[in-house]
Amino acid sequence: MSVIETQNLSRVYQDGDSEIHAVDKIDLSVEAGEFTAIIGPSGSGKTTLLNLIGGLDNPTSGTVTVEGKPIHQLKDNELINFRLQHIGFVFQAYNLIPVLSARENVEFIMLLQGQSKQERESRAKELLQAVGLEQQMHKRPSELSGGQQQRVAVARALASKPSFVLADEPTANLDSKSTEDLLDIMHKLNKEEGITFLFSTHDQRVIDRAERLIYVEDGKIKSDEKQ
Amino acid sequence: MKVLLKIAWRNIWRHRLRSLVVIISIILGIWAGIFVSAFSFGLNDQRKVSMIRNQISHLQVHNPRFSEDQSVQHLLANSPKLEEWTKQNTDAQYAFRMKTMGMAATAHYGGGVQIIGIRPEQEASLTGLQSRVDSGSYLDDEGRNPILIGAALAEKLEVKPGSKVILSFSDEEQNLVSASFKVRGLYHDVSSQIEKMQVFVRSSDLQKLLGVQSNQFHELAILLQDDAQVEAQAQAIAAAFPNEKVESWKELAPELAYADEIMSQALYFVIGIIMLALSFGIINTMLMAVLERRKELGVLMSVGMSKRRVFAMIILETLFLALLSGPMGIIAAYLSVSGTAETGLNLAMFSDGLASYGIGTIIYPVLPNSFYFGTSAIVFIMTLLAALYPARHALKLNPVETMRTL
Repeated sequence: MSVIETQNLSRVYQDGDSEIHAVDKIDLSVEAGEFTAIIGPSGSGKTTLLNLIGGLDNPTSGTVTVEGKPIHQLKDNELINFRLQHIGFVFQAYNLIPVLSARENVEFIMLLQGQSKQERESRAKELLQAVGLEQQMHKRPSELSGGQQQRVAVARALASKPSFVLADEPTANLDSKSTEDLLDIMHKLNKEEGITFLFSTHDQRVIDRAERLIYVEDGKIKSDEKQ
Repeated sequence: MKVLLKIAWRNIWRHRLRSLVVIISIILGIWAGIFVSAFSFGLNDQRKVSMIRNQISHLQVHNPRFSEDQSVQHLLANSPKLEEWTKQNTDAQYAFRMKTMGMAATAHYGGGVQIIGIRPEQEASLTGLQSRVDSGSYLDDEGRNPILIGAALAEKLEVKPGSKVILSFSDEEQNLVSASFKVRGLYHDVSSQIEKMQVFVRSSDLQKLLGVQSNQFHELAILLQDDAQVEAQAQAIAAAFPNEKVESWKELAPELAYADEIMSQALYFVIGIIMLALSFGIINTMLMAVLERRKELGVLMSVGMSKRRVFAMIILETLFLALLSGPMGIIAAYLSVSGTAETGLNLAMFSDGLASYGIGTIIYPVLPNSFYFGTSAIVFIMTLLAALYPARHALKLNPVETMRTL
């Protein structure tokens, strides 16, 4: 079954008198358990596509359906709640809450979901263990390396038990070692827990590990192949 | 909620210096507002006490027509009975007086004065007139027609103790009477107006000159031991002597009675203005905090933090600033008010101005406790209002725009 499905999805920006078709009539379907990378040059529309799928941006036309639900029809507040319950986000710049410790960052999402303290604590611990940061869980983001912060971000993205994880250039700011570690972790979570990952990336190391590559250029899908 | 509190609390310490500047400015604002208020209340209180102790006393009894027309014949309806009554009720102090308007003149100057005939001993214990005699001596039974005049008037008349002053006034039959008085002493008063206006002679001398019997008076002044008893005593005396008019200090000097109320309204207004100015500082700081955290707030909304919670977080951060600084400002103000309440603030350098206003040179700040609560409420409400704009601004942020990238 498709976790994500877009039909005729377009996003047009106005730039003075001209229109920019950042995403141009994209039909895409992502199945549960995929480990997919969206690749393409800068300005090709990768990020806009992810924003639309993640419910962060509204399409100009077309539909986005996540687990059967047409999210392009949701209102602002409903979207926020939908994201909270169904989508995990990993950002290029980690974007952890700087005043909370690693564990608190992971727990935060579950807290917004209204889970009990016990549940939150045990799941946060489990997730930090899975990303190999059990020892660092009381440290704040500023005390962690970039690679460690991004691993906390992955743990945070998984905390809400999302339908899938969207990751926008997750390795762009990481060195090779951290990139390898992060990819190992995500791959393992994908294989063992069946978590669906959808990346946008330039990074050859990520491309090499992806199981499906969607090549986007000028807002259109140029190729889509499994490897 | 708990985690929002935690985030908000930690957020205000991300820019320690900036938060401290806001906190300190609120502390200083509250402190200054309250202390100035306490000072003003102290000034007012002192003026009231000084007027009651030195001048008007708690109660005055007159002939009902005396207040409109201070003619000689408007004597108390029943002075002897009043006097008997004062002897039975010994828990207050009393002074019987004669009063008439007239002229005081020497070779150098002449001017209108109020001539007050007193029983020297009664007056000494009631208004402390004796203790305010600086040069010469107080009135007693010795000598012929002694007079006490104010130091300011003495300067105008160019007299000193031992000099002669001619007093002219109308007697009971409207005949002009002039008599020579010998200056016995010079008194001072906190009010220089009074020093220029009032002269004191023995009531027996004045009664003779006016042609009034020695047991007849114009005025009975009463100083009670307890301020709170004023109304009850006024009613008791009025009931016992229905032909007399009894007035409390509030009726005799309504401006003193209203001053407290007017003062407290004016001071709330002043504190309101101070807080208004401070709230712009708060708006500025919080807006800066929101703008520089646009991306972070965008992330919070992306991952599922509702707008209501983002709004609450900004409000909480602002309230923390107020909750930290408000009590400190109030405590600082309380300490400085209670610290100076006993020793007083010496304003000798402004004493001339204060004297004409009717108060001494040392001011004892005082503040009703309700004022601390009122100020706290103003601080709380103003901060809450100041928080609304930055918090609303945070709500309008669009996650995608704030992050540019996902």
